[in-house]
Amino acid sequence: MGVLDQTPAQSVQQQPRLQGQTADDGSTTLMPEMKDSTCQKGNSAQGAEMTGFELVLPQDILCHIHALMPMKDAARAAGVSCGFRRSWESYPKLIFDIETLAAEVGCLNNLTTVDLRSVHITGEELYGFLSNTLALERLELTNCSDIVCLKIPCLLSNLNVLEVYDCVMLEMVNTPMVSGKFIHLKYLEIVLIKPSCTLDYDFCSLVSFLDGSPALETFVLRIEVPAIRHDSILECSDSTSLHPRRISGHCHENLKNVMITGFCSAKSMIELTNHILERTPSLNCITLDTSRGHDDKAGNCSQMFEEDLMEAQRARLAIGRYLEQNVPSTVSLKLIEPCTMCKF
Amino acid sequence: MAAPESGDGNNGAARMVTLISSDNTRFEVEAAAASLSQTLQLTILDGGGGGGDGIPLPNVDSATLSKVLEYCIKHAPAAANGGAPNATAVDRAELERFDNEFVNIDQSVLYSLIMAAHNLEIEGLQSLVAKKVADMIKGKSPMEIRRTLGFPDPTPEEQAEMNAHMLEYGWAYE
Repeated sequence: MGVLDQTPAQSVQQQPRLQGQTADDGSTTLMPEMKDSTCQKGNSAQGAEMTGFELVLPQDILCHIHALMPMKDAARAAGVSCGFRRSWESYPKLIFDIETLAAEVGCLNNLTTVDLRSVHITGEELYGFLSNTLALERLELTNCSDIVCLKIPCLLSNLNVLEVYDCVMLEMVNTPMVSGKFIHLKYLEIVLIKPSCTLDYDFCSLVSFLDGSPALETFVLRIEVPAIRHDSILECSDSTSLHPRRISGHCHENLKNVMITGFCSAKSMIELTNHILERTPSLNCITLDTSRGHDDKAGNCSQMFEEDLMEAQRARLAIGRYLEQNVPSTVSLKLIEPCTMCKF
Repeated sequence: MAAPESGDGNNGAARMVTLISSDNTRFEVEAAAASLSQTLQLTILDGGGGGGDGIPLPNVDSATLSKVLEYCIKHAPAAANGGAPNATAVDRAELERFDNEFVNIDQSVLYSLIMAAHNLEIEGLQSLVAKKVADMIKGKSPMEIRRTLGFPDPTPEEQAEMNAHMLEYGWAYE
């Protein structure tokens, strides 16, 4: 190819397909796309000849550029440029690839804590990432709603703490099924903040955690917002409730303490609890709390609406009908119910 | 600009299209290269841009268009191979070398390229120029970033905002 000639195009009847602003003289002008008055006044006051990128680049280009920066640079850029600040504040698509992260934190082999909040990462991507963090001791996931299936690599032998908050799409947690993977995990606390988003959430799927943690001594499950359950065991026909499904053949040899707060009457919740009662010879104490958790609230009750209190009553009923008779004599069953202060 | 082997006239089987810059310069280029632009692709698929017609690009001046087409011509063969999964390491290294040199340019040219790549939706070029700007900012202090981006010295209000940001994101300034 090459430049052909300088003669004007014979006819330009074709509608221009490109977007942009064309001035009357045919030259292309690049108009500032920034509209934010508070942000813009400082720069625009300097006059039109300023050709700063921020003045003229559309926000989506700025976001694209911003997304390609390492975290520290991205944060600093947000400090000097409105466009980048907006990109930063609007949670841009920051690309967390292994290389970027490794550059930021040094060698991933030494990484001991991962805390992801509101990060668009899928279960597969997280699995790939975690496969490189062999020293990981603590994993916290908050509001990572792209995770449907959380898989933990079997190589993380130092993982002590796994916290999962508000990952609303999470349906399944796969820990390694071969015994001896989380060989050191002694304390496991799982918090489900919005099970109402997945009303048919199968609490029994959590058993894979117990199966994957042979050293586990304490298991805490918090359901922070009890919702009206559509799968209450109280509404099951007798035949299904009398024949619970087989969940897992594993025994939980070291589990001594179990606490479930926000206990509800869901069939799978009852099944999970019965499974624990049946398969945990070492169990000392099981606490079932139908409120939203009295144990760590420093005396302050989480407030419950009328429908939550109703569900708490149904949960208590379900405990009496389907669980209490299954509690071995060696196990102390503690029941906690909403107090008068819990009522909203 | 490097010209492909179309010098001996019209014996080449490759279809050519004509693009017309905002300052009315006509560029003839292989359809495959121009089609790297998502914006142009449909027009070209519809048979546009051939013969005497030409596709007007009112937002791209001739200097920028010439640069854009240099990129497209270089990348067209790899793109035609579907991202060149079977490209040799040599080919890839050559493209990388080309890309690095390609963005080793004046900031004003870089800026025009960013806008052109955006308007023409040339994905590879968009990434390349965005990466270049990101790299220009990398490791710089706030004031250096301002200068790199072509900002004037901060007003007192802006300086106060920058200081507040620095307090909030101390870890980014270590």
